[in-house]
Amino acid sequence: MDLQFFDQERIVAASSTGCVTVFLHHPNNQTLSVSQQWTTAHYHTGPGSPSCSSAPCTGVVCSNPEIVTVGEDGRINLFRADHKEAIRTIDNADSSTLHAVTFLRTPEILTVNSIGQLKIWDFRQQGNEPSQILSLTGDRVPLHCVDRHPNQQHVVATGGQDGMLSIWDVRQGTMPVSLLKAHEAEMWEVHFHPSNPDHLFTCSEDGSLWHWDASTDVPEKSSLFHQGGRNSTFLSHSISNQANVHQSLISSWLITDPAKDRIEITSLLPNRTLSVNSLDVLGPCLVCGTDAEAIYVTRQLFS
Amino acid sequence: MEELDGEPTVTLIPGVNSQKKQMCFDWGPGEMLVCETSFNKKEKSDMMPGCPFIHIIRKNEDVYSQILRKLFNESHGIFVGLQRIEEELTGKSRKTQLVRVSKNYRSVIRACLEEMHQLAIAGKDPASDRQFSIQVSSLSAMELIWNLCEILFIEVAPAGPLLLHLLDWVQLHVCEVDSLSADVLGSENPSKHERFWNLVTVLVLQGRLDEARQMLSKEANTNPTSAGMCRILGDLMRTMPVLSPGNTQTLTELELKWQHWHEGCERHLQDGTFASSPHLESLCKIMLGDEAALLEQKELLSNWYHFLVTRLLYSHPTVKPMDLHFYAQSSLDLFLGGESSPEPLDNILMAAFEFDIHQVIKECSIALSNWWFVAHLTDLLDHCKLLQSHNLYFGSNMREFLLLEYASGLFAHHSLWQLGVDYFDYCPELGRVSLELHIERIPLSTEQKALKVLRVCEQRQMTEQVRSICKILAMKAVRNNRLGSALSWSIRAKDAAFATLVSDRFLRDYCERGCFSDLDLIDNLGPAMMLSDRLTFLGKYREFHRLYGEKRFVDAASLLLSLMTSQIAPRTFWMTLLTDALPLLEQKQVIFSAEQTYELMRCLEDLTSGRPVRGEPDAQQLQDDDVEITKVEMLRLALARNLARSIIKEGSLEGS
Repeated sequence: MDLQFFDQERIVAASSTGCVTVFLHHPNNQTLSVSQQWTTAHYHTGPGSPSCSSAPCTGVVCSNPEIVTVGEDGRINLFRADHKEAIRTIDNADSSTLHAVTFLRTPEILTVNSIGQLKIWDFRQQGNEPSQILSLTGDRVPLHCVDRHPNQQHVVATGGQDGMLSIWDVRQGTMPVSLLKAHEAEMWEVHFHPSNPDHLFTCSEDGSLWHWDASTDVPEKSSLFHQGGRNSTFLSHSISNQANVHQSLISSWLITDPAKDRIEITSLLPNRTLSVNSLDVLGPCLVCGTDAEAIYVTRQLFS
Repeated sequence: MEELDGEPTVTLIPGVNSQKKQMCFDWGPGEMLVCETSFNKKEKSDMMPGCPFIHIIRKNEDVYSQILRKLFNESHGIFVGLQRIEEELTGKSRKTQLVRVSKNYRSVIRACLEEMHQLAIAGKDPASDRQFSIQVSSLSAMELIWNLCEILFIEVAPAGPLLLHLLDWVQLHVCEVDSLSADVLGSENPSKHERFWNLVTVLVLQGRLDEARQMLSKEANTNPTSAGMCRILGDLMRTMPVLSPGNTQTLTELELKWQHWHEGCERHLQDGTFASSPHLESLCKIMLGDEAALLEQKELLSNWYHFLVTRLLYSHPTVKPMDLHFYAQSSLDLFLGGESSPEPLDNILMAAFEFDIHQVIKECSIALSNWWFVAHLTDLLDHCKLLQSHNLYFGSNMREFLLLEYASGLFAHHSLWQLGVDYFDYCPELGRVSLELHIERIPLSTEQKALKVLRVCEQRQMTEQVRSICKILAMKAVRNNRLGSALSWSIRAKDAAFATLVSDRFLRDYCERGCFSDLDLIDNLGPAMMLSDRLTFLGKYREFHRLYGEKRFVDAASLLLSLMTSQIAPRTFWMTLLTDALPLLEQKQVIFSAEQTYELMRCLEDLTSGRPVRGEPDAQQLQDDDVEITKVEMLRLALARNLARSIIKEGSLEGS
C-alpha cells in the first residue's frame, strides 16, 4: 500500500497483509530480492491469540537508518534496518486508522488519521501520547496523505477525503494556514517537489493529477503553452487568523494575502482516467499509476 | 426453451464421489457452490457424506491471465470513450470514427497477441507453452473475425474497394510470406533457392504483383533462356487493371479494362508462350483465375478464405458484397474437397460473408472461452445501428445481455471490478440493478478499497448500499476495538443507530474503568456530535468533566443539569450523573441555585420512584440496593443542605 526508497539500493514496501518488507535492488540483472521482512508489523489481534487477524499497513516513511510505519490498527512502529524487532511501538496511538506519516525532524513524526487530525509524535519522549494535535473545526473529514516541505520543516501539506488540500504551519496554532478546494474525490497523494518546493503535486480518485505552481517570481505565464491542457489560475483563500506572521522566513505556501498571491494549477493527464492512486516526483521526472493498471511517466516536467 | 447448440462439458469435482450422484448446488453472482449430500430414500443415511468440503466453482479463469489483463484494461478505455462520443457522432464522420474505434480494438488485440507469442516461444515449460499457444491461436482468430466484420459491417465497403480491403485482410493474416521472402532474398542466389518459385507463387496469390515482378526480373537475369517469358509475364502483371484509392474510374470502366486484360492473358496461354516453363505457365493460369491451378496451390494458400480472395481477385474483381456468400460457400466446398468438415472458425467466417450478424455472434459466444470478444463487437455493431432490438427471453436486448455477462465476469476479480462498474453504467435496463447486487459482495480487505467502493456507490446515489457497506465496516471496526474508525464510518453513512451503539460502548467503558478511553476522539467530535443523541450526550459529558477539571464549577453545574433535564441522558446513567453532582453540592461556595436544586431533587424523585419492582431478590441485588439506598440518602441530604444554603444566599442582600 505504500512504497519508499530507503537508500540507493533498498526499497521499503508496506503491504495490506500488515507486513513490511525491505527489498534489495540488483542493478546488474534488474531483479529484486527480499532483504528483510517484519511480517506482523500491523495486526488487530496478535499472533498469540486464537482469532489472530492482520491489519493493512497504510503508510511508511524512511530516514536512514530508521523506518516508521503506520496502519489501520492505529499502531506506530519504529524499525531500524537489520534489527529483527521493532525499536519502538506505540500501540493504540489512535482510535481510528492512521493513513499516512511523514518526518518533521528526525525524532519527530506527523501522522494523519481518518477523523481529520494531525498528530505529532516525539520519539524522544516516553509514553504513548502525541505531543501535539492539530485539526480542523467543522466537519471531521478523513485525511489521506501528508507531505512535509523539503526545506521548511514546519510547513506540511495534507489532502483529504473531500479532495481539499490544506497547508499547515505546525508551529502556529492548531488550524491550517490555507484550505484549497481541489479535487472532486479523495486525494490519495500529495508531494512537494524535492528540489523545487514551490511546486506541489496531487493525485486523486477522480482521475486527475494536478501540478500546483506557487512560484511568485515568475511573471504572468501564458497559460496556453503549458503542458498538458486544462489550466486555470486559482486564488488561494486562507482561513488563518494569525495577525503576526514572521515575514522573514516566509514560504510561498504560507502567504496569506489573497490579492497578491496566485497559484497556477495544471492538470497533467490529458484524458479522464480511473483513479490515480499514487505519484512520485524527482528532478524533471514524474511517475504516476492509475486504477486502469497504467503507469504514466513524464521526463520533461518543467519544459 | 431453445435446444442446446452443443453438448455441455462435464466437470468433475475433486473429492466428490460422482458415482453416488448426490450433490446439491446454489448459484451466486458469478460462481456456484456445490457440496455432496447424503439424502437417500431407501437406506438409512447414517454414513457421513464422503466429501466434507463445500466447493466454489468459477468458470471464468481468463480473468486471471496476466496478459489478457492488459486487453481488458485497454479495451475498457476504448469502450468508455466510444460511449462518450456517441452523442457527437453524426453524419459522414460517424463512419470514419467508428472505423477508427474498431482499429483501436484490433490494435489492442494485436499487442496482446505479440506479447503472448513472445511468451509462448520463450519456452519456460511445456504446459504453459501449450496454454500460451492455445491463447495465441484464439486471439489471432479473434482478430481475423473482427477484421472481417470491420470490412463488411462497419466500413461497408462497396464493390471495388471491397476486394482491396479483403486483400489487405488476407495479407495481414497469412504472414509466412515475410519470413519466406527474407529467407529467399537473404540467400546468395535467390533464383536458385529451392523455394524461389514458392515465393513467387505466393506473392501472385496474394496479389502482390510488383514484388512478384521483381522476383521474375531476378530470374530473368540469372536464366537468359527464360528472360523473354519473364518479361512478358512481368508485363502482364504490370498491366493488370486495379482499382486504386484515388482513381476516379467507375466500376464499369474497370470491368471493361479488366475483361480486355483477361482476354490478353488467355491468348498468351493459348499460344503456348509459357509452354517451356511449367512454373511460369502455372503462374499465368493462376492469374487467369483457373480454379484447378489455384487448388494445386492448396499448401501455399493454407486456408479457404485465402483461396476465396485470390479467386475473386483473378476472376471477379468487381464482386458485390451481396454476392460474396455464393463464392464463399463454393470456395469452402472446393477447398475442403469433402475430406474434412468445417471448423467453428470457418462457420463464423461463413456467417459473416452471409451478413448474418446474429449468427456470427452466436457462434463466437459458443466457441470462445470468455465474453470479451462478443461483448465489445456487439456493442460496436450496435453503435453502427446494425442490430435490431432482438429481444431475448430475459427482457434485455443482445448487446445489454452480453455486456452484463462480461461485466459480471470482471467482478469475480479482486481488482478488475472497477472496469465492470463502467460497463454496468452503460446498460440502461438492468445495469443499475446488477451493479447494486455485485457491489455489495466485493470483499473489502483494506479501507482504501472500501473507500473506492463507497465512492462508486455515492456517485450513483445508491444510498442503501452505502449504508450497508458502512455498517459492515463499522461493525468490523468495533470488533477490532477501533472505536474511532467505527465512528467515522457511521458518520459517513449518517447512521444514527450505529453512532448510538458506539457511544454506548464508550459509556460502558467509562462505567467499568472510571475514565474515558480514546479521549482524542471524544474531545474532538465537532459537528458530528449532532448525529445521535447518545453521541451528543457523550460529548457533553466529557465537556462536563473538562469544565470540572478546569474548576469552572458554575458552568459545569449548569451543564450537568441541562444534561439531565433535556432528556438526552439515558436513564441508566442518571445515577452516575447525580453522583457526579455530589462533590459540587458539597463545595464550600453555593454552586447550584435554588431553582437548580429543585430540578435535581425532581430528577432524583423521578429516578427512585420510577424504578420498577424487581422480581427476584438477589443477594447481590440487596447489596446493590444497600449501596443504592446509601447513595440516595446521601444525595437527599446534600440536596437539602444545598437548598437551604441557596435559599439563604439568594434571600440575603449582597455585600454583607
